Amino acid sequence: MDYLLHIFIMIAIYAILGLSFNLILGYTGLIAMCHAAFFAIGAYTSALLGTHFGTHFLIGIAAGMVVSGVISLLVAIPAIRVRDEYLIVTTLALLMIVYTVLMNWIDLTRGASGLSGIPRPSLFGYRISSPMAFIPLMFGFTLLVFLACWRIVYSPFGRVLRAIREDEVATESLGKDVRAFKIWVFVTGGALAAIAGSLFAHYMTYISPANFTINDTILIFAVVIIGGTANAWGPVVGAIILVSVMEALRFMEISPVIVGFTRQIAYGAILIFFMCFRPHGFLGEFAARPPKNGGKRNFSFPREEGISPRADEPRRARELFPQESVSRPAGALLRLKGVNKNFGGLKAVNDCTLDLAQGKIVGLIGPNGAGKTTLFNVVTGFYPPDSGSVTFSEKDISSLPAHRITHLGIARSFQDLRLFRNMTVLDNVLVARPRQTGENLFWIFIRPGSVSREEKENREKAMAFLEFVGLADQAGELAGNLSFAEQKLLSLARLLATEARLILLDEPASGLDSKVMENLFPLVKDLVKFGKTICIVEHNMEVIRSMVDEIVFLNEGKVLARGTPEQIMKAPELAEIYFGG
Amino acid sequence: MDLFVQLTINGLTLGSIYLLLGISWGLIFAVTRTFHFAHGATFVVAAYFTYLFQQWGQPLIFAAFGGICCAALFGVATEGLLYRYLRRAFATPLVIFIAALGILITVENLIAMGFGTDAKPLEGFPVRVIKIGRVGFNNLHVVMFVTAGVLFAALMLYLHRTKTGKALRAVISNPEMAEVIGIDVRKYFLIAFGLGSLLVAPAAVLVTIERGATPDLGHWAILYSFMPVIIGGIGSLPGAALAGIIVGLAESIGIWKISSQWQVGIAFVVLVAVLLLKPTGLFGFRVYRGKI
Repeated sequence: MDYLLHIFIMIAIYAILGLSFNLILGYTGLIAMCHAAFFAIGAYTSALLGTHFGTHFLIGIAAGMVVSGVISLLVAIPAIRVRDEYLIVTTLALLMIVYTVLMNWIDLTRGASGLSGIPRPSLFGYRISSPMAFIPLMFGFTLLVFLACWRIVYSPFGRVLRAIREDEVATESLGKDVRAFKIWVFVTGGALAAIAGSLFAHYMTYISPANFTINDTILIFAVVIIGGTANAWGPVVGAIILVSVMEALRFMEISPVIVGFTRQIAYGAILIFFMCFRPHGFLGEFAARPPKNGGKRNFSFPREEGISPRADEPRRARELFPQESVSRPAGALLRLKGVNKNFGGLKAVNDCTLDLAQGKIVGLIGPNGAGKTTLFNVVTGFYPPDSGSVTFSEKDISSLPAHRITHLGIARSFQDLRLFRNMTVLDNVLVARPRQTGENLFWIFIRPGSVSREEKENREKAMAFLEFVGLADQAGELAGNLSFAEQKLLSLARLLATEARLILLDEPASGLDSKVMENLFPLVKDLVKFGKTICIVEHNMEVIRSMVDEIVFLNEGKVLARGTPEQIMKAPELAEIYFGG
Repeated sequence: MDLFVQLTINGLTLGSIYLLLGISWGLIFAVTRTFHFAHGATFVVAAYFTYLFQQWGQPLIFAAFGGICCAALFGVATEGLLYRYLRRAFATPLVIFIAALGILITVENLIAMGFGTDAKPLEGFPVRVIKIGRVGFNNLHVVMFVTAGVLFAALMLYLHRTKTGKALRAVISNPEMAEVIGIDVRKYFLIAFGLGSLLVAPAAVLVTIERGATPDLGHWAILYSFMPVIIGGIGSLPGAALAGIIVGLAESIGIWKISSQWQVGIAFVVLVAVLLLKPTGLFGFRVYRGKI
């Protein structure tokens, strides 16, 4: 019986480890190899406090969380700057460093001999010493961690995590500080893992570095992968499966010498098998999505053949875009002065000076390679300009990061759309909503009421944006399942949801047939009525002619000409550049 | 002073092994963009098959040759039988990484089960100590150093002077474009894995001669395979080579000041330091696709 209890306790510990790791790996897509390090830090902190100072185990757990959180913060800040492969390596380095410290800082950790005599926890004066007594404690903590993870995952914060996993660049362009989110999830995961470590230490009463090697990280990996990444129940299922396998091997007629190897081979084989045949794990990704459809609205207008945005509801649109009452600043909305951007020897943007007045639609045209998209990237902060300045509403934005620029009111679309394909249409738009209280980890737990109130409002707003582009009845569909034209509309809705004042559209017409364009572009033109300023990069001359007030002609990074469509179209030398001899 | 020279020599020999680990893994990674965690498995396959062939009566040279060939076959097989299949199923890099991890664990533990965890030696290399002044090293160290140099030079010549080498560089630079101009990228992926495995196997043989083969060498090997590549900068094979030497020197000289137990930590500290100061590595030039 004790043995079964032991299994239950180990399942609980690995469930906590898996739940915390799932936040980092499953939801955010960060391949961190160091989770066993946080497990170890929690264990050793609790153990040392318990054996040397006799601190109460709850304080030990809290201390473990703090130490683990601090260390993961120190690691995350440099590591998150770098790309995925580098993260694997950096976190592996952390794991090895922690292991080396545990082995060699003998004064503190007793090295390979480990720490023994860790006191069993006591709660309200009652000492928890038998495995039976441990069960409610383990169950309680596992439940707590599960609920915390659940709350995080189904909050706006969790939504941004999923968006980051889908497409970091797009998430950044919607105004989210991707780096901060990654750091926060890393720290949270690390702190939660420390809970498992503390419980492990107090249960086993003996720990040594051998409990916290790369093999243990691999086991945590396996728990998450096999249960199902990005699935709230996944790690629990994974823990049950893997711990059971681990213990079942004990009962097979295997000599004790090789049982360790057999176990490892079983893990390795399970990992390979699952990656080949079921990479989403047992439960897959969407099994545990809550069946909500908050803010369900009744869309009774008939859907015409093809895509038909209804621009005939001015009242609703005015609710959507309350900014038409914003006064127009005297100066230009966007001002570029002498902007240069080089790549190696290539001058992508060459001494570009440009003004964009509010309320206008400007077309940016030029042959391929003229630097149009690069200019967008510089304005929106994805590339810093090598020299020159970019000013938005009299504020210098040249050196600001992309998410801050979006916050200030500039948003852009991408040529390749960059939608969050595995998220619903509604979620795609919801992510774009600015300044969400629910994106702050603390408010999710401390002010759940106002978070859910704001979420409700955002849902309604998001649905309204979807209505504006005619996608409202696709709200629950996965973005990846939409047709190309619908995806373009979604991209526009997502953009509008950021409430940006300046909208940069990168080749909005490409890939669309003329009928769809006929429906789409009046929509875009209407945006000006609501106070938006639009800059479009396009190759399609019909679109340019019908939509824009003014054209800027770019070639080889330089602004060659500026004028009305009639003026530009008539200039033969420009035609030559554009179409060749 | 003599101690310093001694440590430098030790560092160079250690660095030679790291060099081979680095350029072999770095080649595979640059060409196929696969985080080939199972490279460590290739390493132990080379070591243990050499041992096995010797147990079956082969002299060292032939055993080594056999072990190297087996390693090359193994490397090609991981690509042809596993990675390729996963890529076709649109597996994300994470999925491929975990599968590779699975292979490493499985292979290492199969070997442990079959051979045991005690260090398996290789016979037939008479180690002769060489002394210059008060500095001592042995002929094995010289072989390591020379092997690393020769193989590195051979790789560079191959990549720059031969037709297939240039094709590999094209794939490194832009796989889609390479496909468009008629390079059979899939074939070259296999070639890259084969070459990479051929380059790492001699290092395995030499390490086994020096200290015997143990199953956990696989973990050690993969760690020291991607560290020089990351430190040197992804995309730069000379960078990886140099970084391997630097790490070897750093570890060796580090023992001077820090107790040898901490030696393992040194390499990682170097890694973290480089990443903090220059995130693309010392010589990295790769602008990764996936950014704008």
